[in-house]
Amino acid sequence: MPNLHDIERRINSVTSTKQITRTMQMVAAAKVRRANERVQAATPYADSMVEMLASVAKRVGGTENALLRKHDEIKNVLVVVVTSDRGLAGGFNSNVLRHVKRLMRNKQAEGASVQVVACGKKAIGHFTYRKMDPVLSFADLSADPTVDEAAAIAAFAIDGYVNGDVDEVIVVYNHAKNPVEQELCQETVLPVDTSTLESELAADDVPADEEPVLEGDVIFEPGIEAVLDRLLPAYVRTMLYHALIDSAAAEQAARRSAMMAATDNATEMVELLTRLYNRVRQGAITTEISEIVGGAAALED
Amino acid sequence: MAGFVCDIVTPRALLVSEEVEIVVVPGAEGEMGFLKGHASLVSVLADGEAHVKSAEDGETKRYALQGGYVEVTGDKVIILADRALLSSDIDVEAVRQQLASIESKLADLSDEEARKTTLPADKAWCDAQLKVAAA
Repeated sequence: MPNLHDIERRINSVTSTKQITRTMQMVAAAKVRRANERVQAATPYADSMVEMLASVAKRVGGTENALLRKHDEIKNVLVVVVTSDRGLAGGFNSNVLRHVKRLMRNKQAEGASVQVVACGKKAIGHFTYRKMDPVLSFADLSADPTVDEAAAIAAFAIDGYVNGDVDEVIVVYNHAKNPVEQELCQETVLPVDTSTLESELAADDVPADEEPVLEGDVIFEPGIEAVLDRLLPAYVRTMLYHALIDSAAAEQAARRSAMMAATDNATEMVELLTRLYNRVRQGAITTEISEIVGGAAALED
Repeated sequence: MAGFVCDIVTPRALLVSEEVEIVVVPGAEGEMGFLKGHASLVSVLADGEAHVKSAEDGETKRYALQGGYVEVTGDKVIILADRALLSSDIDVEAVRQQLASIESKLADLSDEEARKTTLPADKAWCDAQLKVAAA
């Protein structure tokens, strides 16, 4: 039989844990809203960018742009891993890291070497612990990603790709599918695949019956190739920035779900412990009474 | 005169969306002005400033722009810029300080290394802001 005092201490401890998890849940809920607003604010830019790039790419046809060209042999793969700085978000980080591990093993089996760009302390810790120092790392930014961070990754990736140091760039992140669900996403950033652009457009909110705005004769200045040369790096930046802010939104949503589950579990546990506490207390009283009664009966005899 | 819609969009947010009379942007090959009914056009922009004359009160606003494109379609002008700022929002003192710190960082790096960072772009942005603020 556990003693009363021990149970009481456990109830107190679980109650205070519950307070913390409930607070975290509410904080995360507030941050989800802000993160979603940021995703929404970035959407007009991304949409116009995709639309423009799709229409330019369609006109150019087979171009020799370095960012569009597939490298014949894939020897070096750059993986951009987007995680959070903090834990306590359920499977948020471990899902990404596990997926990256599998991806790396596959790529290595194909004879490619893998480099990692780590965003978020969790990814940095994971890779440095495994003695694979990330080529670039960003900490303390996961809750509040900046365009500069995305631009830095893009600059590094593009430079590597053009020079031939890198043959493929992949980004892995959590997509905030809806407020309660996160979806693991793996996207190939480089080489840019223009054929997916159009399907992306179709999937977006551009209604099918509406004619694409950039049809017919369009003047390109200084020239269609030059426009493409400038558009592609910007597109890569946009894609990476989008992955970062999407992941930030997903992180808060994941934390909210995780903390909600923790709060529920704590409530259940307090209930269980309180019941046990009462049973033990009642048992002690019963024992005492029967002892007294037994003692009195013994005296009477 | 009826105007048309001009949007200035950055990766962070939609900066402006208003009814305008004329838009002048710094094209890669010189300044370009758009009035209503301009032919469809896509152009790369140089770093510089855009003038936007509002249709409502005829007031001209100036924006510092960096690394953008302009897309003109039937009744809309969309300026996609990496960075954009209203001229009156530029804090000259802060920008000067930023520029100084970027230059000192750049001085430590070789050209090769600098290309892998965003420092050259940051520097260009500071220059663009200062130019617009001075005008």
